[in-house]
Amino acid sequence: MTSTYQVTIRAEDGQEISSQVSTSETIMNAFDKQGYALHASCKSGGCGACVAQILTGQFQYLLPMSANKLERVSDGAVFLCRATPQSNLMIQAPKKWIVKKGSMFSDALRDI
Amino acid sequence: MAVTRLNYVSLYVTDLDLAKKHYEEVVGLRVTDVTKNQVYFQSSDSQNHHCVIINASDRAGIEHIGFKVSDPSDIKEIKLVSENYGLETSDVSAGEILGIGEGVKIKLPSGHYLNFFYHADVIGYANGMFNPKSIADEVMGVNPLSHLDHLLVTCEDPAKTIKFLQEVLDFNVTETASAPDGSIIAGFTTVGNTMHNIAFAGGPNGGLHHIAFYVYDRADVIRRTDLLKSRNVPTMEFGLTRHGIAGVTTVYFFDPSGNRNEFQCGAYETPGVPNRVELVTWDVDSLMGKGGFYYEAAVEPKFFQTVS
Repeated sequence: MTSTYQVTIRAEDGQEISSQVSTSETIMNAFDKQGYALHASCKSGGCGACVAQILTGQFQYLLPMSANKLERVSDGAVFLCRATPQSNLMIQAPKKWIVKKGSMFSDALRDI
Repeated sequence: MAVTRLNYVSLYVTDLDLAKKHYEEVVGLRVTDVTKNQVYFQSSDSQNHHCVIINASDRAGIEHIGFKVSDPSDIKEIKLVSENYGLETSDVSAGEILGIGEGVKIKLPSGHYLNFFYHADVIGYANGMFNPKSIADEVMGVNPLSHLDHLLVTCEDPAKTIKFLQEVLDFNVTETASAPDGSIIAGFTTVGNTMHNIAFAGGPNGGLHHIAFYVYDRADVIRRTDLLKSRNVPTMEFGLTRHGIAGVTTVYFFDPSGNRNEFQCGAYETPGVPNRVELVTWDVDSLMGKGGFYYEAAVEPKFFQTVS
């Protein structure tokens, strides 16, 4: 059974973005469709670049996640490229996302 | 004693079927053997049994690395000198790794396992060994690639492992990068006439940064980058680009378990007397500037921070 939950990601500066995320997709994919590129590298559960912290809520891994990375993080860590929600979620992200849509220039270009 | 060639790398993958598809259809290798939990691959233009093994696992990363030696007696000698150095060793029986004869596996100070063996089955070129046609066919829509060229692995103390390989196993150190206090933070070693076969950089012990495949020309790196993008294979933010170090045209991408791969072309060679090539050195600013990524003159932090 597929359910949908509200997932909110908070950056270090306090800014928040939210998305409805189905339990049939990863959190990263859902935000990507909304136009937010979350901080990531391999997007395949092996490199650990997308690690974030769960503030409230439950999740599970939808796709295989390398034990090399799971063994090196403390409780509450979540790898967003492989995780899907099991309840509404509040997540603290150590790295800011990039806005892909809705502006003439991406945030990446604006910083230059 | 002489270690003569980087022969293969054995990787852990979290999804064997997806990984098989990747190394066949994205990288362009041919499948040479399959077991319940493993797939073996070789490039079209290499004769030995395999250059990559993927192993079904709960993790990504590197399982071990295979090097060929020039004489069967070298295996015993490597076992002896490694044990004298204080390293763990274990014997590998013939056929334990498909296509590979008996050998000795040693655990480097970096946490990586190297298997040294003499015999590797010869399966021949993809085009055969008798009157082979000179142009190789595409493999699953991708140009054939030349060979497995090198790998970069991570460890807490690169200098310690580089010193062992250089002083005990006669690996040639071609280039190093040093911190302001003179300590080595990265080093490139080779057993042939290429710039590197195995390189070490700071990071977690036993980590894999990437494995690199050599392709035939720089233009093919561009064509392959186009294919990676059109097939939605995750790639590095930088790349297509050029490394200042080695001078290669390069692109990095990931297999479906998050192991980083590289296509590259244009590395300089180091012909001459083995182990007598003078060392090139870099400081941190150059390594993190034009030495790393020549066009961007900066290194994306994720490049060194993320390993499998």
